[in-house]
Amino acid sequence: MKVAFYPGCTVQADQIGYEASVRNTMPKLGVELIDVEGASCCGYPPFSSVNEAAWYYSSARNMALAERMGLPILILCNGCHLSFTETKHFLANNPIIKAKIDEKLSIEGLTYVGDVELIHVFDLFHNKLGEEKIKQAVTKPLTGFKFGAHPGCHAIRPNKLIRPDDSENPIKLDELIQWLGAETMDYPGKIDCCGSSLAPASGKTVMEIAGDKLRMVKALGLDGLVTTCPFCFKVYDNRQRAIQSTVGASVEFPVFYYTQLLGLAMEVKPDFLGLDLNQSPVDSVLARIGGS
Amino acid sequence: MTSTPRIGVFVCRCGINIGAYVDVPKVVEYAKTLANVVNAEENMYTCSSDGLNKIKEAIKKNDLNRVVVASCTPRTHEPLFQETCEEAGVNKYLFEMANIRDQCSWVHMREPEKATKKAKDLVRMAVAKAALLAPGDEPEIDVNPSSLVIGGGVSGMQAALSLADQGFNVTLVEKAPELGGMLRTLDTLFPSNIKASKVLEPLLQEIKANPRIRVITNSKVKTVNGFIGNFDIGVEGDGKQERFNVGTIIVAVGADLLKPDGLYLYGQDARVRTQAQFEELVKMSKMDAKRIVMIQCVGARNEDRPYCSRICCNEALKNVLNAASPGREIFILYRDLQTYGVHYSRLEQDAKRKGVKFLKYQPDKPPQVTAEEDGLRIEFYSPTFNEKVELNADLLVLSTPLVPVMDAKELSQLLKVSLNSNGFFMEAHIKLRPIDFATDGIYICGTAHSPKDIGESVTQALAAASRAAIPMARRKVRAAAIISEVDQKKCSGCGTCIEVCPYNAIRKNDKGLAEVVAAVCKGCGICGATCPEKAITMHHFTDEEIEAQGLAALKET
Amino acid sequence: MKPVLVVGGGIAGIQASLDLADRGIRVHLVEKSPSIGGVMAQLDKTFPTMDCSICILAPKMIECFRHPNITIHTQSELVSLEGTVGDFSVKVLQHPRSVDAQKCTGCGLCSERCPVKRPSVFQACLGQRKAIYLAFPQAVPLIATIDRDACLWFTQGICRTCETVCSANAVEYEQKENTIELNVSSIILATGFEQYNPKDIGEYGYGHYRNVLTALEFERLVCASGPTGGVLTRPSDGKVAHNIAFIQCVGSRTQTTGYPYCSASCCMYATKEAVLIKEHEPSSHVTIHYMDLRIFGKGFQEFVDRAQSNWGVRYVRGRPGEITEDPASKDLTIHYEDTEVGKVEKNTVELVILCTAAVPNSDNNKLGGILGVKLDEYGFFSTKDPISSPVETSRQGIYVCGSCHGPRDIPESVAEASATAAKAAEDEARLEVKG
Repeated sequence: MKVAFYPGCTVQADQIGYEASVRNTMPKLGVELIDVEGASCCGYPPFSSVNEAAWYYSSARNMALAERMGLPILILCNGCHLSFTETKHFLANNPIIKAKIDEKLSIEGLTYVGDVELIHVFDLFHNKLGEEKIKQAVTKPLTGFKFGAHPGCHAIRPNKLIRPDDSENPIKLDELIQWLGAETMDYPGKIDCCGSSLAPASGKTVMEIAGDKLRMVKALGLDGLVTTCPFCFKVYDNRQRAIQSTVGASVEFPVFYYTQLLGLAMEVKPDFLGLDLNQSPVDSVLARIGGS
Repeated sequence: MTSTPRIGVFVCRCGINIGAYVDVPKVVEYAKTLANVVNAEENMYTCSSDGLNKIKEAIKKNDLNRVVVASCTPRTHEPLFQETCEEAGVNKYLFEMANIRDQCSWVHMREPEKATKKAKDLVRMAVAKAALLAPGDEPEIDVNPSSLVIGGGVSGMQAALSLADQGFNVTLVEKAPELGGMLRTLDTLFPSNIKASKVLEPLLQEIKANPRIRVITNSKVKTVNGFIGNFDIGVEGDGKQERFNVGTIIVAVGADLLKPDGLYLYGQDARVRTQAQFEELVKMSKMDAKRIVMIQCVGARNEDRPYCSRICCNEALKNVLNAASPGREIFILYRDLQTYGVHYSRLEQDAKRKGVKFLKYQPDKPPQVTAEEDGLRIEFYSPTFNEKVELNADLLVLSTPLVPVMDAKELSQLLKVSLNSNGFFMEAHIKLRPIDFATDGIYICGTAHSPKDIGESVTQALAAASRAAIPMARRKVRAAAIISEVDQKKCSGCGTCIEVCPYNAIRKNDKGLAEVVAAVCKGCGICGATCPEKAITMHHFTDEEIEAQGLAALKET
Repeated sequence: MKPVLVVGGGIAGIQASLDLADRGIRVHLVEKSPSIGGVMAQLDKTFPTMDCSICILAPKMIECFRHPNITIHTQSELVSLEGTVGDFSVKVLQHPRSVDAQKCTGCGLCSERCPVKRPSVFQACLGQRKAIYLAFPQAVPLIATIDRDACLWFTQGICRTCETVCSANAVEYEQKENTIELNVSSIILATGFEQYNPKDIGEYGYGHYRNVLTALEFERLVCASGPTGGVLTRPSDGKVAHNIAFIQCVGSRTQTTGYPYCSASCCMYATKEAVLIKEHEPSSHVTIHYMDLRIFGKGFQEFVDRAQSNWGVRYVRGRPGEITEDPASKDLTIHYEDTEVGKVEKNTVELVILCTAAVPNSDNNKLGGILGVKLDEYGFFSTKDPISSPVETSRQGIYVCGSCHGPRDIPESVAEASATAAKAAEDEARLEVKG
């Protein structure tokens, strides 16, 4: 299948490990990624807090680009996915704002209809590819590992809008991990926020909240924390030293993108999965998997 | 006339309540060894249809003429077992219960051996008494199918109308010059905010038009003698006196509103009012305060009056909804908002939508009110903000509880009914008999029972009419057989028993000797214990029976 | 005099029936389940007197059964109605028990031997009953019933063990449903309420966390006739729970999942249940997480005062945001703000009881349609006017009592039941006059 590929700003700016893991697994699963030419920021969170119309415009623009390609959009980031979903919902019910946005889009010769299919990473694996296909692609099951899924707020909330997973009992990411042969644990605080949106307001709070979760999964003896959102990953993986100094306790803990684990189970080389860019201590896991 | 006692003993397991702690089979075996016991068996649940049938079958099969059930409490189950005996042809007074649950298995759960021994003791005692029991007679008393309703407020009026519509004559006595009670002073009623007059006027007209209802205003009930079916009533008022006879009495005397004298500057500053006064101001369009603060639970839920008066929160909401307007600030300081149920929850939401602000205060840190030139200063600790809050008000409105009417005590003594610790009339059972008094033939409804709103009062009034109608519709009631009897040969006419009887059930006959009025006597036994001549017999609890039980208790198993 | 129809055999229906029957008016008491008794039969004790519930209810149930003026129709429902007050023609459909009511003695042997188990509704599905069963030990009438959806004879054509062991020859597989026609002067609705299912309130984990129960489930747990014989063992590991928390207003007083109204009796029954826990084991820790303490009834405030001072029940004001579960111990942590001190706290307990909303009976819509009476926006029966006609429906001659028209407690339901009896009696009197 062909999809319009929308990795989003954060992935392209510094979460290139995520992008690498996606680009190096999708082809083997029969997914052809076609980059969205001229894609820009979805507008969330920088614009959404300051100028709502600018935010909706940014998201609508990217969806219009995908519509022009005639393809559904695969969205890597939880935040981008919610942004596009909210924009679709809002513009469908606010013709006046939509008219303004249409005006702006027409400058580029773009039109926004609002019918492009948004594919979240969960949707891709569950609905588009399916369990059988993934299990078949797994040549080295991750048996003996127990991971904690971190679905991330924007994949499960708000429950007024349709989200890729349930607000109170999300299981989709757990299932994806199980398809790789590993076990998961429904740990307390699974649906707690990583805190990253709070960073501009209170960096300390972010550290404390993230620290709570890392300490929890560490204390429970899990092998790693798994996510699909670059914002969440940034906090949990890239900021462990800062978190440690704030909370005053060790939070060293392996954190992965799901597609990285998927790649390992498909025996893709770790270098092609961006694992050398993970700042959390993933080596112990890699050693156990015995990746070459 | 009593033949040789043939006693049947039925020991109940009550599921695990008794069965898990008392060795029921052992108790059954033991019972068989007792004198006069011809049959003993056990049941899982004696009170079930199955258990009751087994009793009846055993009575027939073994020709029993006395029955002992060793199970739970006679308080809940004695009448049931008594009726079962009657159905099988055994007079209900030849039945005795041993409480081996509340008084045995439940309190000795950790000592099963001792519990079993005690159960045997209790059964032995019951059997000893049963052997001496005599059948009892329950004479029928005629019931005058007319009612006295004391109190002409909404409850009294509704009760009177229902009884009249059911075909009974009613005398409605009201101490004020007019009927209506609190409906006269209220402006609008919650939850629907209709005018009180719209409820009052139709009631007054219906009462007036009903040929079965006789209204006596400006009068009070002065004497009450007699008993269910035959109450002899004396009413006084307007310079007149009257006596008449009724079958039942309904108490609907309402309640008063507490005046918060001395609380929060009430009585000292004109800007401090009660809810009732506030309602009056709003009604007369004289309420122009721009900043209003209300304090709930004033004089309630404290040591003096530990109860919640149920209606004050909703009364306050009704008033603020009538008073709310743009530019007017209203604060309600509360402890727990009693907006229960469907209608009042809606009232709460409406008030919030109108911008009324609710602030919680704690009872141990009540608001402090000071009077200033430009307004009242109300300071209190807000647990929501964790700091002291100061509000300025043009008007402070105090929500006070309903309290029992002044003459509640007098009336309770007149009727020989009880009041609870807060001074409200006390019903027979708070759950299943909320409208009946323990004294037969007298019923309670409305705020005299406890604070409630008008709809709830109307409900209770109708309920009282239903309860009162039962003996009146049947035209007869049966008197109990557990009563005292004065041996005319032994009585010296000292009159002590008459003085001590709490039910006024003993009179001096024309020979100057004491005589018990069977229908009023409740069998409490005080007279029997008091009589210096030992002239009084307590039926069903005779000296011989009690002695037999005592001696049985002291026997070794 | 014509008889009166009472629909619903809980405490309200029972009281209305007895009031009418005692004064000589005949009553047809229609109940859809195999026994009368309603929710009150499932409770352990009642507030504020702490009377054993079934002990004070059972004598009234038996009185109904033995009363010459009351005919009880269980397994029955109203299917049609025509006419007006004084002259209602109703059809009542009786579903077959598959047991001959005249022959069955209620001995229970059939149930003992039946091989099929099903969750017991009486035990709030915490315990089981058989395909042929007695509703509960004090059921009235005490007659066995076969659940045809579970019975092997009806589903697979095999077994018939109950028939074999029944010494009274009471099993009657061919029993058919039966419609009776009645002409009554008035109708009293007393169909009661249901409990809100809190599974939609995901943050409390009901249905996922094994040690989160509803209040009715707790009543069965703590009751001596319940599935554990009254021992407070928790579902996940059978450990006796000594540290327990109650959460009030679950599904009540909410603008999101549930209903916006207050269910009126939960603060009191939580207090009662807390006292029950303490009575069972005085060293237990019990916390009640509440919003507003609804203590408006007679004796309520004093009861709560005693719970606090005599028993040490802890009341914390603040609606919890979330419950999380420890994966190993299955203990639960309640995350809440103590709004009286403004602190965010956690309370880790062994068992959580959710005090769920009292919601309209799911049959109300259907029944309302048959009877032609109005329902409110939640599905409770509407009263003509809450102030002057608190027990009358929108249709003349049809009255309501108890929680079928809004959440309320037992004393109120009992008073309302008597009130509806008065209204029905007034109708009878008018009929008499008409001649």
